[in-house]
Amino acid sequence: MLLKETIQEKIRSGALTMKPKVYFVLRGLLYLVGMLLVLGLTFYLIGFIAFMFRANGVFILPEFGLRGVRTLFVSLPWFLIVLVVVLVIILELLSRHFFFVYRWPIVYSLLGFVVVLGAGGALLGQLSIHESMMRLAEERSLPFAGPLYRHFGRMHFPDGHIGTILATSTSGFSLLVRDGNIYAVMVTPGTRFPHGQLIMPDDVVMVMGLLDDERIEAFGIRKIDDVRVMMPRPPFPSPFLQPR
Amino acid sequence: MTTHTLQESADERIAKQVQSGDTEAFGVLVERYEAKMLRYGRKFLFNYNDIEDAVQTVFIKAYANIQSFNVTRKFSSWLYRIAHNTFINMIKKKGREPLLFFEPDTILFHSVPDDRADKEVELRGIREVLDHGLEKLDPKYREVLVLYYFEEKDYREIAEILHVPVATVGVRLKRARERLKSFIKEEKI
Repeated sequence: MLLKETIQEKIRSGALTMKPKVYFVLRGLLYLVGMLLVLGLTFYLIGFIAFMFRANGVFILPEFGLRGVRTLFVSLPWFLIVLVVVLVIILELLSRHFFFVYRWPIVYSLLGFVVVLGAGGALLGQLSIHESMMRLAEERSLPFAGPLYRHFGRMHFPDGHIGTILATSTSGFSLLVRDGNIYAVMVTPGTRFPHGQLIMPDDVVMVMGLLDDERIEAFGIRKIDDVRVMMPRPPFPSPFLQPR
Repeated sequence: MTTHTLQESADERIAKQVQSGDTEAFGVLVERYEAKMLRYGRKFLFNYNDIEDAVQTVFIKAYANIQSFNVTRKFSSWLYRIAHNTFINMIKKKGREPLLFFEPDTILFHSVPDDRADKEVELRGIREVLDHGLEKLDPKYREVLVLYYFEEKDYREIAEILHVPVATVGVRLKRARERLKSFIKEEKI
């Protein structure tokens, strides 16, 4: 039997039927919704990472030189970064279904995604909504994203300590760090500190140096002027706090 | 529409008729493309026995999915795309030849080599050579040669069929020709 006859026979007998148009419309919609979900999640995660960096003063770390860069590298939220990379790859694969994407080399569409997602995510990271969500998460009142904020929201640097200066002395100062502990910071002639800058009680600073029995020998100190770096208010008036 | 008028209609017009419920009109499309699909299958799927079955699958899939065909676009590219997917699935199923999930030549930008004006002159000799050398090439190079030299598709159409950038088609053709040349030299064809 000729192929034409075989096919027509199958059509006539009902063995071969065509899928209705609505099937393709729904499939297209499902595809679009899937893509939008992945896109939204990627934007949100990049925004969250941008918020983490801003709220934890990550951008100050490189000012401590190679040591700061190393601390930055080991403290990066690698799990979230890998997750974002995987989501971008999924987006790229999903988008190659469309002719306006597969007609171009992968590097173009990938670059497009990176630029749009990076810029959009960085802008989303500036929104104060993350601070509110962080607060709710810490009060355990944020149902879904709570664990994300509690686990990743406050970054811990192995030898970087962010805190508020409670009192200064001739050998250094006492520092109230974000988890409520108070450490004695020893300033030596080798401590790196911007020339001419003064530090005073109530200043928020990042101290680079290893913690040893509640004492930190400061390798470097930088003042944090960005008010959006997450700092708890001092829980009590410090007995060491000296008037300015 | 009579069979005579149908025979003269454009593929896209017939496809639209099939979409509107004239299922008999699909036979005209089968008639038009059966030989082309068989040739494409035979050249692309070297050493595979069930090419007739694969071509039948192509038409079955085409009929089942005809409502997804956009009549403002070219029917032949759409059908060749279905054939490409069917044949690739067949190669994957048999597992005899290497197929990459991801083709590195689609990553970067390449300048588009000329869609050669002297194709006709080249065609005479190359088809004979291709018959001897095709089986030695990887599927991705073999397919692009078959589509260009036997199916006489241009770069843009091949790009639509394979879902790759137009420049990638040019690059694959260039590499396929180079590989073919080296085989010919080695075997003194």
